[in-house]
Amino acid sequence: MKHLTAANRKAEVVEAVQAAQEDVVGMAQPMGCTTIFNPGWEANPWGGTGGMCSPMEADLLGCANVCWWPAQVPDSLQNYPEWARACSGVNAEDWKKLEVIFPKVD
Amino acid sequence: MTVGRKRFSWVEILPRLLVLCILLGAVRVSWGEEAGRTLLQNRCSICHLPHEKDGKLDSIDFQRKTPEGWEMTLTRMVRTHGVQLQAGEARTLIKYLSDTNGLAPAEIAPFRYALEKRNNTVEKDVPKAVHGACVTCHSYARIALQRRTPEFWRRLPDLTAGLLPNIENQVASAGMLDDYWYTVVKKDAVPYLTKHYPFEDAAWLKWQAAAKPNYAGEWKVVGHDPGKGGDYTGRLILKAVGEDQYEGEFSHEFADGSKEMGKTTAVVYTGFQWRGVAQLEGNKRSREIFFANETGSVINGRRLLTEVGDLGREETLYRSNGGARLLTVVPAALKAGETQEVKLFGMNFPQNLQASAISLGTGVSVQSLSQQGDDTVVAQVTTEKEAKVGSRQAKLQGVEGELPFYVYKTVDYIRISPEQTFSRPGGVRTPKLLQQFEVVAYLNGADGKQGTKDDVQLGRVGPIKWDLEEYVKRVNDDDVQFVGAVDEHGLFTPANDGPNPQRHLSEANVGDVWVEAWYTPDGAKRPIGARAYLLVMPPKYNFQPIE
Repeated sequence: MKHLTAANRKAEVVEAVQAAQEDVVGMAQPMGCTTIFNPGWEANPWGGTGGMCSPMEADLLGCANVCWWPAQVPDSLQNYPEWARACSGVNAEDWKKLEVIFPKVD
Repeated sequence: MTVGRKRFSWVEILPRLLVLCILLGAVRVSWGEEAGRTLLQNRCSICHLPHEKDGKLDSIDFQRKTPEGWEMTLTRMVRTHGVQLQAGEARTLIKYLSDTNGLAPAEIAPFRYALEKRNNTVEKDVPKAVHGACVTCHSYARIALQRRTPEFWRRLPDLTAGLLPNIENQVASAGMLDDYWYTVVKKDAVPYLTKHYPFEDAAWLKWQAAAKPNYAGEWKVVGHDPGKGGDYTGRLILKAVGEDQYEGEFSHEFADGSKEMGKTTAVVYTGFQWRGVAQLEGNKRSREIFFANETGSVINGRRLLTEVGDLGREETLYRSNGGARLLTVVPAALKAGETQEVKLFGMNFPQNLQASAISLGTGVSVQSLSQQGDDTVVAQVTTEKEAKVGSRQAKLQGVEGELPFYVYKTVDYIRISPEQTFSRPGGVRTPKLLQQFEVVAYLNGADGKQGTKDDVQLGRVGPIKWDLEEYVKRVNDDDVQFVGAVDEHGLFTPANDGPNPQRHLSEANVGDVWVEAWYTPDGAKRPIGARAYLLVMPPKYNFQPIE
């Protein structure tokens, strides 16, 4: 690759972006997993659904557990520690066991 | 050996009976101010120690919230702090806290949408000081519906960081802040909230001192169902069944001819916040999130048709007092050259009204009328072909009030309401979040241009042909085939939640589409159309009283 150089401005931009990106590290903190302004759970930065983690069930533990999105899935660090326990991610149907939270007191 | 029946002994039975009575007494939850105060002392003051100076309970007596706000606090106490409450105690506590440490009508008014579950609301003008630090995760209303002393606004970031230990990472990933969340929230958000949402406030002091209305009596109902029913009118009889507790029976008549009857059970918090549950025919339920005005003569809000509040109706209740008063005219627009049925609804109308009692202006004549009770007049009205187009006032002889209606010749354009909204798949694990659309007709107004300030809203029109169209955003965009369907009444029902093996990479049934409506005015050769943007978002697993 070192013998190839960018031929036009767009290629230079692509190279700059690639150089700025860090290597993927195992178990790295997923950045921008589930926020309103980064591609994620709800909507992408343009208000659409393209490019999101869809189906979100496929990346649930990455997107919900570490980088939780408190408005749409419960926070499982402190408030609902049991929330995703039923969903081991081994069985493709496990997501059907996820609890839906309706906090209520009688 | 014979086995004789054991002799009945009061000595043995009595202590057991006494224990049972005490237990029953403990389980029976009392209601009201005194019971609330005692419960607060018994259940909360063990941790929230009374301040030496004035006996105020730490934290609790330095905040004011809505019933939903106190409910969220109480559920958190149970969830993370191990508070144990017996059945019914939470309701008594929420009532007591909302009454003693609540919000005044003026304090709630700007943020009612969050309590009424109008989750489609786009919060505008959120102050910069709190936007990135708070509103990245929850609504601005959730904070703006609280009042705290400076100390307890100051303590809030510490509490939040303790409860949500990953908040720094989460907020950083949103990219809205140029510094650490804790730094920003302490530097910008806390001073802003301390200044704008103080614990001590004139509106609250005034409302606390004011006499609270009694809501028992007869009420007239004026409402709007954006779904099949359309505009509706009705009656409600309320009786008081306890301290700020009411029961009522109501009947509603919809513009599409359907009727609905039901019973409601409600609690009034802070003297003006009505929270009711209505039991309807066919085992259906609806929830009433209403707010009374300060004099208690008008109550209005949203009737939630589902637990999550995705479907709902606008409803206003008017206290039926002595005077005759006109409340609504349905429909609010008449087409020139047609004979239509017009309903005038109000209270205490005089009996035996004649056609001449209705005044609708030159060129609009009443052919016949029928009267139902003291609140409804249904008239057959002919609008002449040459009747002057424009706004008019509807009047009823001997009845207070004039209501505007409009005479028009042709509809210029239509719009869908809402024009931008969302829905969520569900049904397998999570609740489906549906979306109701309706079509409203407009005139271009004096300038003849569409979309300007002088345009006139005529109200709902139909029949409408509904359709979904792809909003093409990527190559082979196929969302429209999977997201769901819109029915003949404009109700969008999303598809099931979960991965869909039929889709590329098992993508869920999410996507963005256009909802299209087509309306053909009488005599027109072609239909006129409108569209709305619908984002079908991933499902939701966490529903909070205030989102």
